Amino acid sequence: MKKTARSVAFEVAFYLVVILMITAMLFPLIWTFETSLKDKASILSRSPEWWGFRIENNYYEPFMVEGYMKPLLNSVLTALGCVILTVPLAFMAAYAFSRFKIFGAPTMYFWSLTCRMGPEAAFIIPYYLMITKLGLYDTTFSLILIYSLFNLPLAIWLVKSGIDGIPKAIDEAALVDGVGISDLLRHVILPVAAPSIAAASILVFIFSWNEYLFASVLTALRSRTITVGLLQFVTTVGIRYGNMAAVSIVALLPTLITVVILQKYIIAGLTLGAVTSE
Amino acid sequence: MAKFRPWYLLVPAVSLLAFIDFAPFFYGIYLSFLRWIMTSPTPPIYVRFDNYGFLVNDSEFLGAFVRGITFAAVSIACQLVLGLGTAFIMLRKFRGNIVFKVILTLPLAVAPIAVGSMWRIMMFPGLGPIPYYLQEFFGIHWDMAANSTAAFATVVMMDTWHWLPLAALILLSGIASIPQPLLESASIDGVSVLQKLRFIYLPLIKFEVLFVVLLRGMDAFRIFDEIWMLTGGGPGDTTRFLSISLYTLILRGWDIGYGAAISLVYLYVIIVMCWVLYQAVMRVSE
Repeated sequence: MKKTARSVAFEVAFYLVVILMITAMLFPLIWTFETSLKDKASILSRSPEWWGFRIENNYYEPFMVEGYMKPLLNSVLTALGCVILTVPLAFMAAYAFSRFKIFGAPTMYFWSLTCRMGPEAAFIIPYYLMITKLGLYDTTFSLILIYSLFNLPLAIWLVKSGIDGIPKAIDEAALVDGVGISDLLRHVILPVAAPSIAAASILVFIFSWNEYLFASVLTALRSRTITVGLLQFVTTVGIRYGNMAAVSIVALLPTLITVVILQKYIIAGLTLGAVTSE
Repeated sequence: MAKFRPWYLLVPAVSLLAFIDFAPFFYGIYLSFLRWIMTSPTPPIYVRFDNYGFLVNDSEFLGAFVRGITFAAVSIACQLVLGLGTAFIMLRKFRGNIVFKVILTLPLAVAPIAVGSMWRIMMFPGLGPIPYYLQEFFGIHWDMAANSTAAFATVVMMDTWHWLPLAALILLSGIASIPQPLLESASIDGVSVLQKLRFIYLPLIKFEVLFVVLLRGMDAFRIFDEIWMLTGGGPGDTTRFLSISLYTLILRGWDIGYGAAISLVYLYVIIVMCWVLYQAVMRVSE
């Protein structure tokens, strides 16, 4: 009897902790979403207003009046461009790394680790000077180039782990039959390695979308991305919190949706393959 | 087939990397030997190691470094302890555990800059609900914009919110792979929960723990976006970590030579730390 009482208490405590954690994880997202719908008075009211506040469309002003559509479009172009540049290169390099002993291949993992870990701030000066000298300042192309560098090693590494799973005998059989290398890659390797290529593409997209530091240094009005646009709310006099919340929601929604739909790829990629279960 | 060596498949990737990785690196070394303020009309002059000499006595730089270490240590500790707890929750196949997992991974995808703005909306004194409730129910005056302890704690909380899921998932993969018979025999022998944690779980998930320390430690050292958005490095210099310090130095003074010197030292310290931790991880995994 005593035991069941204890286990019931344990059950209750367990679910309380679960509910508490879910609340803590969702609260910032929900609160920001609510803020994006409030009018000024409700946002600044002394006690937090949970419901029944006056609704105002804070999305309208930044996106329709102040031209925030442009940064949004730039973000899409930059992230897609980065995927288009990085993934084919990564695919070719990953095949070479997977099939042949190449100098430096064993340290590849460490290399991709340092590219993910390297402090971006330490690259500002040379990149800024090089990009301005090349006349690429404030272009989407310069951002694509630089993001590709930071994502390429990770992409190579992810695709390589996919190609490693394909038996080498398949390539050899194809080559004996007189199939060229490009046909081999396109018709034999590509379909089998597709899941890992998809994973790499998604991660490259997310990382490029989320990047702020380089975008803030290398772009001005013409090709700034949505993350740069978001920070501009802080620097203006008297932060417009409602609009800031609205732009935050728009900036985080694409990657949030991706992570919900494509969970397992993202976790494998973020942990560099250390977690692949489920 | 021994002759078949398509090294040319590597050419595009390697040349891209050479152009945008190695070139800036050597260019950065060259710049660090110059005295060059971009906004002043004086042309750059070669000053050898002067910039590195400044750096050794630069209290701003050293302070930022120490703050970075403190921040990394505190946030890693939080994420390991809470992450372990969360991993045990996820290990249990309770009703709704799939939903729990999905919700838990949401913060991982959010753009760091948006994390910063969300926490600003939530925590800013006079605006956010958290300081209000702390004041109302506990009498704690939580002023992130003026009190340095509150600012530091807020930054740690934000980082934990953002990255706890990653720590939990890595630790979970370790715990899930512990052989079941081992745990069963331990509970038959009447081993207490703490002993189990100390003598069974922790030794067996050493790799995962170290991996979390590696990933999160390096991330904590490069953190920029979230904090730039949330506090801007303030109040005072409480949350001015290396990246922020460097960024403001460059954009305020355009002191290219000195900035380049700090960048290189910063990069080098990170690579060495990463290498040491990486070796530790690899040794454990063998």
